[in-house]
Amino acid sequence: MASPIADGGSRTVRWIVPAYNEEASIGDLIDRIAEVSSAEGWEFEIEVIDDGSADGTGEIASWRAAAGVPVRMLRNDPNQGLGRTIRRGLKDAAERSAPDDVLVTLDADLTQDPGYAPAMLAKLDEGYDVVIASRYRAGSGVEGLSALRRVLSYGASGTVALLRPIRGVRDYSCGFRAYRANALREAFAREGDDLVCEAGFACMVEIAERLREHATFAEVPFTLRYDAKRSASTISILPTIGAYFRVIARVSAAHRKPVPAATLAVAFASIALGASGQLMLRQGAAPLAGSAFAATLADALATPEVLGGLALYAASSALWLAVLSRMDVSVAYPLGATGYVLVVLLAWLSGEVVPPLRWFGVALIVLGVLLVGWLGVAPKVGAGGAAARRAGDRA
Amino acid sequence: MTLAELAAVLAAVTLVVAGQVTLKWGMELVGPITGARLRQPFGLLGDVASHWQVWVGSALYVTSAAAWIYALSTVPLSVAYPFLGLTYVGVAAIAVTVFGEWLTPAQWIGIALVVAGVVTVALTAGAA
Repeated sequence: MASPIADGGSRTVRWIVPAYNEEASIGDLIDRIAEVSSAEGWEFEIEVIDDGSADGTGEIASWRAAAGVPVRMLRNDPNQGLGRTIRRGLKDAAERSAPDDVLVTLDADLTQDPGYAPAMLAKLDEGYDVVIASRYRAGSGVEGLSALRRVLSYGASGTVALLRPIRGVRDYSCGFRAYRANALREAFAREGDDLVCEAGFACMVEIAERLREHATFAEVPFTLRYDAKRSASTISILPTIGAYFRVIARVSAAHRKPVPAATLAVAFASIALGASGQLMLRQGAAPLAGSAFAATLADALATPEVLGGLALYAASSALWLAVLSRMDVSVAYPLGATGYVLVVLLAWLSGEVVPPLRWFGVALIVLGVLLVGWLGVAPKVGAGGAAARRAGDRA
Repeated sequence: MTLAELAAVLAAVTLVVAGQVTLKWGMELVGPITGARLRQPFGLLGDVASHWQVWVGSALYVTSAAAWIYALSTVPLSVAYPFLGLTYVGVAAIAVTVFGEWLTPAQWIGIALVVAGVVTVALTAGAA
């Protein structure tokens, strides 16, 4: 497939603007979007979803439509909140899109300048599914926000990045994004209306989280112009951060593969056999201490405990291999970690002296293994994957 | 823990990781083992045996078991076994360097904790 740009603008850029009581900004925003889109030579449409505004937001947008600007109006009545509003806009636009169309979401309050969209689309054309205008890149900025709110929002994004990082993403909550229409269509087909369950600002974190396994992400630097805002802010930081955690916990739990009881039972059997085998190996090998390597081995292979231990070890490995592919790392790693506790416990019961510091060391190892398998984020194949495939399609 | 004991334990751990990775490499060349292939057991065995990675991986496993038994002849189990936590570190290191996979910050912290835990356990066995 050729690049959409080379096709001579066969794609449509669909701007999605959720607006609640934005009469002070919506008119100028529509004009600015039209200016940017026309300058780029894009076919475009501006979808304004009026979320039950009590002011003149809807009228102003309708005047622009009447004046010939390609504005499509949707209205929620009564007010539904950002989550449902953005979902309605994304779904409506995705359903009406050709596969190579682009959906751009942004706030209606002039804090996010549409002038960044050309850079975002250029990035999208490198083969990404989602491009975020990011406050946290070299060259990014935030104007007109108090230091406290900047620290809080940086902390919130940092926490999401630590718990559930997505390759290529630093700004998980910014609503200024460009999506390949197809990526969203597939997401709606997969998740239905569950794609956006969060009512408030956390819906942005939720969308990214639900796309994480299926889409490739990139960012461009952008400056959030809070000083350009003409309406009162409706975001309350702390509840929003709380909602981020809720989203992450819920979505990651929903995407986890359930493990059948039989699989778990086999896994535990494997761990128990392995631990017993280790104890037998030690008890068989200990009396041989002091000999040279070859002599020790020769004697060991004539010792029933060592042979039994090796047999248990082999059986344990075979069982583990049999069930490993049916478990996520978020299950397999913690199970594996219990093996350390069990082996040291057996060693202690058999008479080894285990000082408290050694237990502490074992606890560190277990904690470390849990973290490595934490929340089911397996080590991920690099950005090469889907993006490279797509670039290959285009070539 | 003497240096020789430490060397034996670490050798066993290293050989296990090398064996795992080499065997996985070989089995990926063999491809998925389907029901149809299981009905031709000799053909399947021939496929498996035709890849040197399978042989080298198995040999590494056997060597690792030998080093492990030698280590266990003098090192208490509660000291030696926690060293196997390093296999997670080794697998992660190979995933990152060879296969270009990436780790999350939480996973890096986890790896640091495993290493710290192993060092702690080693320290409780007396100076090397």
